[in-house]
Amino acid sequence: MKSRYTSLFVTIFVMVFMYLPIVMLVSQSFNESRYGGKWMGFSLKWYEALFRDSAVINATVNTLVVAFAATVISTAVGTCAAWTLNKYRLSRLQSAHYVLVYAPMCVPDVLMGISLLLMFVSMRVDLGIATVILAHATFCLSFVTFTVLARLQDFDFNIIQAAQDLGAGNFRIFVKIVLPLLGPGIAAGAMMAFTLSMDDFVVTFFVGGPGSTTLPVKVYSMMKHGPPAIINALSVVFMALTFTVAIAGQFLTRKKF
Amino acid sequence: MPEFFELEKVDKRFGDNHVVKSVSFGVRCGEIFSLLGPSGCGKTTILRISGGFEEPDSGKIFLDGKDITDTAPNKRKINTVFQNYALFPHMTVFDNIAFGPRTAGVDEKRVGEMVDEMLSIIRLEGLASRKTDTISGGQKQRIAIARALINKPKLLLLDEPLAALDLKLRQYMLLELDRIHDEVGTTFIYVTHDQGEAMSLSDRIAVMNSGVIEQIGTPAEIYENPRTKFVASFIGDTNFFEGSVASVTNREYCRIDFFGLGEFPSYNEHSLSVGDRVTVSIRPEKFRIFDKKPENENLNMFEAQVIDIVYQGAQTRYWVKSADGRRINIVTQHNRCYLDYKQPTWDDKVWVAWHPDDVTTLPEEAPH
Repeated sequence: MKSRYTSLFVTIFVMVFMYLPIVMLVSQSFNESRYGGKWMGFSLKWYEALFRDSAVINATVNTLVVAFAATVISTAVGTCAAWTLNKYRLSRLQSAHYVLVYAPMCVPDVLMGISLLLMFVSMRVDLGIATVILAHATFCLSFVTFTVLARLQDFDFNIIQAAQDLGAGNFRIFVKIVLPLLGPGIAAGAMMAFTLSMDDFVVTFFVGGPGSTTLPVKVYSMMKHGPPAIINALSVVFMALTFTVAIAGQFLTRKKF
Repeated sequence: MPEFFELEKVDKRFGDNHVVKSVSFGVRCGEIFSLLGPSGCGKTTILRISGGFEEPDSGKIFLDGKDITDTAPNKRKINTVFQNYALFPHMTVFDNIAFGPRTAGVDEKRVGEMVDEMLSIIRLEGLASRKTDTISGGQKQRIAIARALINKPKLLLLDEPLAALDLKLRQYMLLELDRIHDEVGTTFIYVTHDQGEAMSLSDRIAVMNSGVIEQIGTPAEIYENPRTKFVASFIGDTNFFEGSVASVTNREYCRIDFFGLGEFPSYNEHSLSVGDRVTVSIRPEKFRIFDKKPENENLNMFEAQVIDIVYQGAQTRYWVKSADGRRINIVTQHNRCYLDYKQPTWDDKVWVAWHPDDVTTLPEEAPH
C-alpha cells in the first residue's frame, strides 16, 4: 500500500511541476487584465487582438510553411536513411552512418545554429525562409530516422517474400504490405519532425532572415514590445497546435498491428 | 516417366560456404516429397531455390516440363508455406487468404467463394474476420497453408511448417496436413529436420547431409536399407559394428568378421569381396533376446549381459554388454502381456540373436 501512495504522490508532484505553468498561462490568456496576475474577469479580447495582428498571422503562416516543408524533406530522407541502416546494419559503413545520424540529437541547438549560419554565410546564401527550412530539415532528420528505424526493426521481411510468393509485384507489395505496416511509423516520424520544427527557436534565430519570422521568434520579440496578455493568447494557440500534432504522433506510434 | 518437378545439378554457395553441392532429384506429380536433414544441411536453401527466392549458382529447375530456373517467384506456379507463417499482420484471416486471387485480379464475388472453400478445407470457417494476431499457432499454420493453396499451385513448398508448434498440436497438424493433401491432391515438398514427421507424412524422403542428398526412397526403404552411415544413424536408432568380409559364401551371403565379436553370415547386398571393410548396421528391434542359447541354426548370436532396462509400455529397451565390452541397444515388442512371462533382468546372462538378412552392410564411404 505504501508504495502505491508513493507513486501517486510522485505522479501528482510531476504533473503539477510540469503543467502548473501551462495552466497559469492558459488561465491568464482569458484574463481581462492587461498585465496578468490579478483576475479581472473572463475575456476573449486578447484572442481578438491576436487574430487582428497581421504580423502574428504572418508568423503563423511562416511557421506552418517551414514545418511542412521541413517535415516533407526530413521524412523522405530520414525514411531512406532508416531503410539503409536496417538493411545493411552489419556493415561498418552503416555503423558510422548510425553514429552520424545519432549525433545531431545530442548536439546543443546553439552549436547547430552557429554552424549552419556559418555555412550559409560562407556559401553566400541569403538568409530567409529557405535557409530556415533547410536548417529545420537537418535537425529533424535524426528524429525521423530513429522513429522509422524502430518500426523497421519489428518488421518481418518474410512477409514481403510471402506476398511475392502469392504473385504480387513490387508496386502491389509496396501499396498493400509495406505502406500499411510502415506508414504509421513514418507518420509518427513526420509528426515528430513537425512539432520539433514548429517550436524551434534557437536554430531559427540564427539562420532566419527578413520575412522568415516564425512564431517562437515572434513570441520572443513580443516579449520586449507587445502587451504580455497577447503573448499568453498566442502561446495558448501555439501550444494547442503543438499538442494536437504530438498526441496524434503518439497515437500512431502506439497503434499495434 | 518424366518427373513433375526436377532439380538438375543445382549448386549454391554463400561466400565460402558450399551449401548445396550439385543436387539433382525429381518429384512425382501428387506426392509428398520430404527433404530431411539436420539444420545447415542445405534443405531450406533448396526449398528457397525452388520457390525462386534464391538463385542457384548453376543447375536447372524444371516444373511440369518447363525450365523455370530464371522465372521470378511471383511468376512461378509454386507457393510456399513459410516457417514462421509470414501472415500479413494488418489483415484479417479472410484478406490473408484472399491475397493471391485478388492479386491475380479475380472478381470479388469469386474471391469470396474461393476463400470460403479454403476455410472449409482447413476447417476454420468461423475465423474469416479475425485479425491474425488473435488466433493460435495451429490456426495460423492452417491459414498459411490455405493462403498458399488457394492459388492452385502445381507445387506447394512447406518449410518446417510444424517446427513452432508443441508436440500435441504437431501430431494433430500432421494428420491435418495429410488430410488436406488427400483433399487437394497438390504435389508437396516438405522440408523438416524431424524424421518422425517425414516418415509419417511422406511418399518419398530425400535425406540430406552437408549439401548433398545421401539417399532418396520411401520411408521404409530409408529405414530398412540405409545406403550410408549417416542415413542409418539419422533415421531411427541403430547399432554399428565395424568389420571386414572374411569370406564370400555365395551370391547372396558372405561372412563378416565383427571385430572381437566373431564371424557372422550376413546378407551381401553390395557384392562385397573378401577383405572389404564394412560397417554393419543392425536396428535395435531386429535383435531378439533369449535366456538360453536358441536352437535355431539360422540365427546369428552372441552372449551378453543385461546392463539396463527401460520399460516403455509397448516395448522394452535393453542395453546389453557383449564379452568384448561393447554396448548394444535392443528393443523388444510386447506381443504378449509383459507381466505373464519371465523377463530378463539386470545382470542376467542372455543370448542376443538376429537373422543374417536383417543387417545393413555399409561399404566404406567415398568422401564427398
